Amino acid sequence: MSGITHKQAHRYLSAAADGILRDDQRHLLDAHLRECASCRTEAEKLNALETRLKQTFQTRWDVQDGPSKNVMANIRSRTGRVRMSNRLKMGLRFLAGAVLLLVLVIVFNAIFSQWRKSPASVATSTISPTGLSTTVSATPQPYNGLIAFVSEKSGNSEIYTMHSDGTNVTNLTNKPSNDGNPIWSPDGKRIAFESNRDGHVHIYTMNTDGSGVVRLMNDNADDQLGLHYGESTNIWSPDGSKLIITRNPSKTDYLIRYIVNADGSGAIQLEDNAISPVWSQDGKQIAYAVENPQNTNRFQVYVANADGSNRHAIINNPDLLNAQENAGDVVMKWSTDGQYIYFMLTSSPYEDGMRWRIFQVNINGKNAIQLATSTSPIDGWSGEIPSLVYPTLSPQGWNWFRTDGKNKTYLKKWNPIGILD
Amino acid sequence: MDSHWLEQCREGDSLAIEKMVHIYQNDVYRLALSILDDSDEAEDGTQETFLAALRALDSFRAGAAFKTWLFSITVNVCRSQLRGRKSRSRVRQILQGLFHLRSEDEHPESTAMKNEADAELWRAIRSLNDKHRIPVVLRYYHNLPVADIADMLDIPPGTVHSRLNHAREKLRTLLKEEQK
Repeated sequence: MSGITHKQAHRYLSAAADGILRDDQRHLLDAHLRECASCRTEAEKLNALETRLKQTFQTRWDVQDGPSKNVMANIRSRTGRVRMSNRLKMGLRFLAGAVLLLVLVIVFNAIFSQWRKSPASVATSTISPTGLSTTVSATPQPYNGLIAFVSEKSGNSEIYTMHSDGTNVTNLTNKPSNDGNPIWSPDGKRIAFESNRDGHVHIYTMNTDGSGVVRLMNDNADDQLGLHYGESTNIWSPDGSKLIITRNPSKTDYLIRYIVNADGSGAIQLEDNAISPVWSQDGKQIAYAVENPQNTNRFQVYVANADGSNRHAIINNPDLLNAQENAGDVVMKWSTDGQYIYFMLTSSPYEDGMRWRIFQVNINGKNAIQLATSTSPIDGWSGEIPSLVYPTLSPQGWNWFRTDGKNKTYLKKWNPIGILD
Repeated sequence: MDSHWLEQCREGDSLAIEKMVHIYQNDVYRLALSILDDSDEAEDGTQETFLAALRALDSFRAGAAFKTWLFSITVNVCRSQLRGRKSRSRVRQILQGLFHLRSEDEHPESTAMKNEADAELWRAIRSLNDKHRIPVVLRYYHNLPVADIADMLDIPPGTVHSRLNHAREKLRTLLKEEQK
């Protein structure tokens, strides 16, 4: 007998059947089979089974024709959808990459700016004015030939003005505290800003030479002019008599908004988590959305008088969100005639999916219509009905559409900032 | 399939996609037929395989064997169809039980098989579960090496071997029982 047992021989036979028997094992198996009649019988049975299997399968399936022409036709008819879905996936991957890159840049920038700050300013760096990541920040519009900006050149953040030619730089705040985020009043006579000069972050207003400082809220809660994504920066009412300010009592995303007179009197609290407040053009009313942080499926649009009276919901969520859907960002605008509210709502109707929609609603809550809907990002809009223009993101770039409220017209593909070229 | 062609398919080039389907549809259909044993379902499986492949082309690694990759998609698509078939079958059994309906013979193997011996083996093959039946079909009908079967089923070659071995033993036992 050769050097393997019957049991080993059976294992080798099975390995040979599967084409994984090594050469040395084959020699041992051959030697064993020459001498062992029972294992030869086993080999013959295995061989017979394999032959029968092959024959049986061939008998059953070889006689059948190949696929019908329907297969090619059906694939052809459905490749368009696959192609579109692939492109969308590619676009979303690109978008996710871009967002990730942006987050990394912001994180790196924040770390780097902390490292650059003096110890004194680091100690107060948790408040929003000092959170400015650059040493100089300017308001976008010059008023009366003046530009307001923030600089940390003195060791803490201060608000300065200068003429648009760079002359006559004046430190308006000049305090050991941190002051920042200047926002001009519409008439250019006052500046609202954030400061921690009284221990907490509060909102103040001052004249353009730094005099006449007024603190708007007199309790110890932290306030901010900090605005959420997409919100209007026009926190001043058009006549400059009131401001909308924000406070974040629980240091979460749960925001409380106040309407307060520019002299600090008459603060009125809006609904909890009122977001995206906007003044009507005549300054007589405000509109805002309300999202319940405990139930983001609950979403409403409110209109109120400028003094906070006559508040009422003109849109309730059952009209807009399905049972599983959560509201996301909201951007709101008034029509120029003050009769309509336009708002863009981002929501998540299904797992891993988002949708962006633009609506128009009469301020009495009637005639709400959906003007645009897209499962890829809509980046705001311009104009109003009958000619509202908006871009949606596709894997190839931004597609621009115009709607008159009933019909949508494709305008062109255009990447104004070239990020997707 | 060369990488240029694949790239064209990825970009949605209709001609390149038609070529791909044309070249591989017979093999994919035969594989689907051998797993599903139903020509209509095999056609559905073939379509779904190509559409799934087009959706997943980005994940195909250049240099890998395209046909093995395509076959692995076919196997997955067919397995999913088999799961659907089992669910439907359970519902049908419940309905038959409720309304005392006569069950139809889904696989009239006696008419397809040339002789009783083939029919006997076919009954034994059908009694194998999918885990053991599919490697047997891939090995003995498609003549695929164990390594390729392992790639397609995403299991180690040793597991393929043990499943084949188990299937052969089971078939022999079943055939002996029928002969008694």
